[in-house]
Amino acid sequence: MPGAILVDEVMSADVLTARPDVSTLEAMRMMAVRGVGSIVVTNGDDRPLGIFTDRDLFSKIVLKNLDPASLPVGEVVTRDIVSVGSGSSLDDAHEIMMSGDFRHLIVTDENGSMKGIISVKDLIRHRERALEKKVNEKTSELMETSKQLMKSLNTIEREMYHAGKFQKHLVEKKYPRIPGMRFSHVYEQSLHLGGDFFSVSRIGKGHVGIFVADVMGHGITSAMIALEVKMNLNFIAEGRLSTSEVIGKMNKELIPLMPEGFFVAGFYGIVDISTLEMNYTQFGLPRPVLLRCDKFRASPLQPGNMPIGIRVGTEYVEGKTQVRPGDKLLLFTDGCSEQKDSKKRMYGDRRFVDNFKALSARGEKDIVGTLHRNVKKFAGRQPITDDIAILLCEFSRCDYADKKTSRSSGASLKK
Amino acid sequence: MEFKLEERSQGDVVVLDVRGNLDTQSAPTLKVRLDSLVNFGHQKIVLNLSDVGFIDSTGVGSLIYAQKIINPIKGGLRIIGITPRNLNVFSVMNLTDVFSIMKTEEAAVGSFHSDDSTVH
Repeated sequence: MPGAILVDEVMSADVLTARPDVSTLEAMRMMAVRGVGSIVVTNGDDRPLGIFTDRDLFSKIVLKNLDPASLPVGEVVTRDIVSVGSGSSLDDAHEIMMSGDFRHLIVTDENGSMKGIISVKDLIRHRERALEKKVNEKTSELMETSKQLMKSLNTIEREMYHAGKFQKHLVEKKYPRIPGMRFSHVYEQSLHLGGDFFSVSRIGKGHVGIFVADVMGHGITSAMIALEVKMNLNFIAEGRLSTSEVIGKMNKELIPLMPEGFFVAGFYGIVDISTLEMNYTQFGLPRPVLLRCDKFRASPLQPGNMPIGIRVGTEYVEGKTQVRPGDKLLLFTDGCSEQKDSKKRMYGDRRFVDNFKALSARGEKDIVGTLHRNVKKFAGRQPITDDIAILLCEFSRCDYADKKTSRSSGASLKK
Repeated sequence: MEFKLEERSQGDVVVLDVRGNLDTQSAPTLKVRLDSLVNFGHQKIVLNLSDVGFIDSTGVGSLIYAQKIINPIKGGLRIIGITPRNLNVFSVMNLTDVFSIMKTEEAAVGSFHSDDSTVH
């Protein structure tokens, strides 16, 4: 059998032998000295006459109450010797031993001459060694695979780190200068790459678009979808002043590309710089909050729509609100509200908004920074499980008043 | 509460009892189980969410995933036992009409059979 282990590789060639007239006691002593369980009886040549084993000691001597010192071994040997041919496979030898309950087989050549002996012990020892060798080989293979895997992981980690830095740079672009509006944000990716992003951009000369999106999940897929959303936004939003139209078109574009179970939640608002009228479409994010400067009341913006990427042909609706100088618009992704503490409790929308109200008298950078810190404080030692994006837009009193004064024919605020 | 999924059969309908929070950590487990059910030919699935503490956006994503992999012509997904708190998550995201949310298991299981009679 090609590749099979042969008995010759495992057998003991140095066979313990004795002449038939040697006493059984002497034969037993010889076996004990050599540490073997059998002795082959010969006439001094390589033709075995029989075999005496430790099993024979009990069955033929102890049980029959015979005296081994006066009993020649030749009288108690097993003469019906079972042998296996040299060149046989170890599996064949094993099979013979198992079928006949033999513990020793004499290995003979084609002429019947004894070449060696193989015992159950030899067989087990060999199997153990073979197994150990296999385990060692497999362990080495596993270690090599693990090394390669670690190398690949490190490469991916490094790539993701750089891509994440690049993504952060893409998201955190400088805000355009817009009279009467100030922006501040916090952006933290839970992995190197995130699915959150926001953008503030001018639409023509008179409007500004404010967009916040949260792609479900985080990691490479979410980051790629976020990039696609951003590119779509740049392309679709150009020259359009209806937020529902932009979001509807974006839904249509993204649905065929969206992996199953992914979706994009977000908010898109367009503010008329001269009137501070804002139309907006929100789609599945925690409700954006408009904090009115005169009433110090935070009101969630209505109505809502379902996220992008779920249903073909969704009709998105938009709301309209009149923003006033001193108002603050807070947009945040669910990474803020869904953060958990060590007891698996969620931070929650309400806590986040109440926190915002309590901080409202502060400057916009201080507000977003503190909101973020409070979420992290709540998390304690728990990891940040989702991306966090907070965008605050403050409509400035002074800037807006100056602008209105300098424009004698400017549009009036819609009350 | 440890996340756990237990499966029961009601004729050709599989009822999956979900226990624990349906969030970033557990959502992949639910998706794998749903994949396996669908791959074994089950297309009528009832998700019992009565023992779900909270659902976050990734958890919602796993339910949308379920909705997409189940063939609506051969069966569908029904959700039962949703708590007011978790229903609010769906409301905030305007997803209540995306899912078939039913009051009882009997109604959910029965709806498949009435759907059958409609189809035939």
